[in-house]
Amino acid sequence: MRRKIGAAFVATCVFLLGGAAQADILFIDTNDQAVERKAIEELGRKYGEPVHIVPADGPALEEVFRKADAGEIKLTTVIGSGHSSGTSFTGKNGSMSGIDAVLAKFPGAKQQIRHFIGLGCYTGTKYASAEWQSRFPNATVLAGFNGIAPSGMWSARFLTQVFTAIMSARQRAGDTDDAFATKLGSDAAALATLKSVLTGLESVKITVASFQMCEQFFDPKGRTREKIKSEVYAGLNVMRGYLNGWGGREDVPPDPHAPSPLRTFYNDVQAYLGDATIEERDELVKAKEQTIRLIYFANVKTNVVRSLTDSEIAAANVALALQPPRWGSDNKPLAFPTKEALAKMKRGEITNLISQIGYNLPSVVEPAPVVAPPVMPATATTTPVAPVVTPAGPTAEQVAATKALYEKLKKQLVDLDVPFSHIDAPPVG
Amino acid sequence: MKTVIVAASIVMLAAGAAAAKAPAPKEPAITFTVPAPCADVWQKVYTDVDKSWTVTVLPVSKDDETLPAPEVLDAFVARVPGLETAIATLDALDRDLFFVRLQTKSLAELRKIYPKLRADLLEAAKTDRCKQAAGK
Repeated sequence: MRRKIGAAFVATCVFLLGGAAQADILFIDTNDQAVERKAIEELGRKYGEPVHIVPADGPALEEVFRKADAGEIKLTTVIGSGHSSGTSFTGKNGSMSGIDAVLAKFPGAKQQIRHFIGLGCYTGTKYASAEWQSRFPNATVLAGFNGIAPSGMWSARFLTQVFTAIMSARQRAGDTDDAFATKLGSDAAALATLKSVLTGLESVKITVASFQMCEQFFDPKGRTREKIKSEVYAGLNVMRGYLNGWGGREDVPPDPHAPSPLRTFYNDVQAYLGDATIEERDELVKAKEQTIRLIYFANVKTNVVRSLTDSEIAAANVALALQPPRWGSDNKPLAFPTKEALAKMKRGEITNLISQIGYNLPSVVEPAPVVAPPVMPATATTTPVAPVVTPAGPTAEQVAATKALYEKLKKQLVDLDVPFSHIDAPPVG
Repeated sequence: MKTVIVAASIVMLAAGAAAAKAPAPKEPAITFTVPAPCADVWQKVYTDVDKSWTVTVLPVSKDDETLPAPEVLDAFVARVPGLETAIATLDALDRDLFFVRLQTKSLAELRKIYPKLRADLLEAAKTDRCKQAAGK
């Protein structure tokens, strides 16, 4: 159950019904950090919360999420550790790049997560925070680093100090995760107090630590124009990942109204545009137009699919069938999908298919001359062989039909050059 | 022969009388167009339009669909009394959406999308967009 707390106060926190004080901690140790493991084990003992230490992706990680999903444990804290570019971890023990698949398999588990601590570089940038928040939609506090992270002792101290600050604030709020989220979401003073406590921590002062609480990003070091600019351009890369449908961003976040990296990027651009140069402004205004259509891609796709006809698709597929792909598709035949199939495809699948068709657009081939076989005198055992005719390629009309549909879909579904009205759901019927 | 002349004169007189009674040719109807943002609110902006004129709302143009620059949005919000408070909880993206929808949707559609906004505030906001589109 997802509920917004506090009508007048803008902080947004969510809570689940029936939160117990004690809950389990998951520590994903991708880079074999003994000092951090020791720290979390001590914290687990201190607060009576069982700790599950897993190396990276694999059966152990999946088992923890399975148990949480099945209600065998209540998992409220996730800690990631290792090398990172912000939204995943890698190291000696492997990688946790498959966490999204595990979370998709056990959706009940991800709803339980209330705290995330990222012990790795860039895990607390505004965009990484938004990405972790969309993975753990009910998280109240996310902590990480808005730049290069410390390792070893300072990383372990950061973990200890931040976890302790969270637990203390939770105890003051009533010692359940629900009470804690409610307090932070509805009481500006409680939120300000926790911010102040976190800002004062020694490990926060000497590092580039940053936080997100109740969906509000918070950088204790302050945000300069240069920092905002660098966030905007980091966000531009994230947006382009979604636009192209690659790099772990094969599909857009499903709920256009929920916090997401795309929404964060849009809001950052709007805040930065006043300071942008003319060249930056042109680039960012175009990015804004595409971002809003990406956020509402499900509606855009529905509107585009409705405008297609079955005969248009069938005509466009004739030339593709007559001319096998030259490269990029493992010689598998390419074809535009039916309207029904297109409606079900993820953005990444659509951009990939349109790209492959673009690289393999058919062309009109002049028919090869008729090759006559060597004349062989007919004998009692042979019969005259008919001349071999090389099959002709697609006609100009067939090629034009393919190109027309390719250009239409590339413009509307890949480049998102569609009227603004496409972001609204089409009328039923 | 005399009878024929008299009959012809009577026919000519009758034709002349009919011509005098025929209604005067109609003046061409005056049609007047207003930009798309003015749908439902043009009467508040185009106050000098004669009631006999046929008013047509133009289709939504590319300009009407363009997302606002931050300074344009800020100025708009400041011009409509009470709007800043009413949309305080909207983030930048939702504010931009609101702005474009004011220019591209009817009041009835806007009321459906924004049921929590007061009807008079929606109308005032849409009227502002109409004024801007009309250059008034």
